[in-house]
Amino acid sequence: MKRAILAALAFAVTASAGTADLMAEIGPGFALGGWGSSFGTGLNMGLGGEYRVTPKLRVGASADISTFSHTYSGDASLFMFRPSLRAAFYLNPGSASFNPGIAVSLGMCRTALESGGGTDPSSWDPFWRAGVRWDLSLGHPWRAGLGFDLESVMASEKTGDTFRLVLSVSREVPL
Amino acid sequence: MTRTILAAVLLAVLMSGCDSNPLYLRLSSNYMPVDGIGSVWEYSVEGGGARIVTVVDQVIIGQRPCYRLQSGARYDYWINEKGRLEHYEDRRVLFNGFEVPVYQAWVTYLEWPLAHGMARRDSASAQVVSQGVTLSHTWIRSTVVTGPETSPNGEWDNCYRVHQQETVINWVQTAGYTPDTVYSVRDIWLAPDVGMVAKITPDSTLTLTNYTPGQ
Repeated sequence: MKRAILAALAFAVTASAGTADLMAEIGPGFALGGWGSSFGTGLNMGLGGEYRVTPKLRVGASADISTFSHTYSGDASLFMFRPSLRAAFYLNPGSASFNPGIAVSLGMCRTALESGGGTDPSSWDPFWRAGVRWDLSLGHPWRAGLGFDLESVMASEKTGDTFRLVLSVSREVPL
Repeated sequence: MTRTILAAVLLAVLMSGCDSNPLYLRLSSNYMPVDGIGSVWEYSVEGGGARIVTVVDQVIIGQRPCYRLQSGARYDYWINEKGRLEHYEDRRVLFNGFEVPVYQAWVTYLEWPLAHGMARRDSASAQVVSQGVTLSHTWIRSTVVTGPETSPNGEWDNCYRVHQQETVINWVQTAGYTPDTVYSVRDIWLAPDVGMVAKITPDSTLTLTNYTPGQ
């Protein structure tokens, strides 16, 4: 796992020609399953970059954070930090408004819980994410994306699943 | 090349000390499942004897629907909703052969989710007049949660240990009486989706021997 991540990251950061997209993402997250029973809607924010291997295929890396707060008291918070590798495939990359695609990510998730003045031991677990995107132009070199993701943190004994909506803004950068 | 090395070092730092633990299991679990009618906890008492706790039914106490738990001839009332566990405190003072109710209220016992180091302090003061005499009652309860850890008998993982110190001061304010202070301390281990699996006080030890979930 570590070797694969390192190899892919090395590929991403050493790409010396072509085009890349630098992006920022934001959106709400909704816990699926019992783990989120004490928490309300979460907030996700992330930064990342993708290298255009072909006009349709992009690979890259990103890091994002999520926070969930207690539904009733506000005394508990769950923080997630996720460095990941990502790949995306778009059907119609040249289009200004019709460019649907899929995006997948694989990485590690650090989860930390604070509640009532206490802090639980944090956990580092692998996670995957998959979702769809609707990509559109905001005028060269800016683009926007809308979509949703399903995500699963593969922690021991029980997974932490999340549904999230994504709004992204990206800028095309020649390398 | 430099960028590759930097990226590798960054990733190695991020992943160093990777420590997986079943945090999501704990978040998903009910550490005090008092809302299943028919649930039965059977405890052995160190030195001999047993204690059986049963969720009897749902009743309305203090204008709120709650679950009634029976242990011997004693009833306890619990509500487990909206991210907190509440207990109905029914405090009485013995005076002239009568049990005089001095304080009845729903008090938050624990808030979910549990986490290592969480703490809370609850207190109440009340006064009533009985037979022309003022009875005052004060109680203070400090709670500290630690864990996750294994239960004392090693059978249950991912338990939280709830340490409570409680001080109760009853004062019958008439000649011949002085404030009567009772101090108690207890450690309770709560296991995921089971509830209390052990309770240790200076003079007793309870250990769960069997648990039957209710409906």
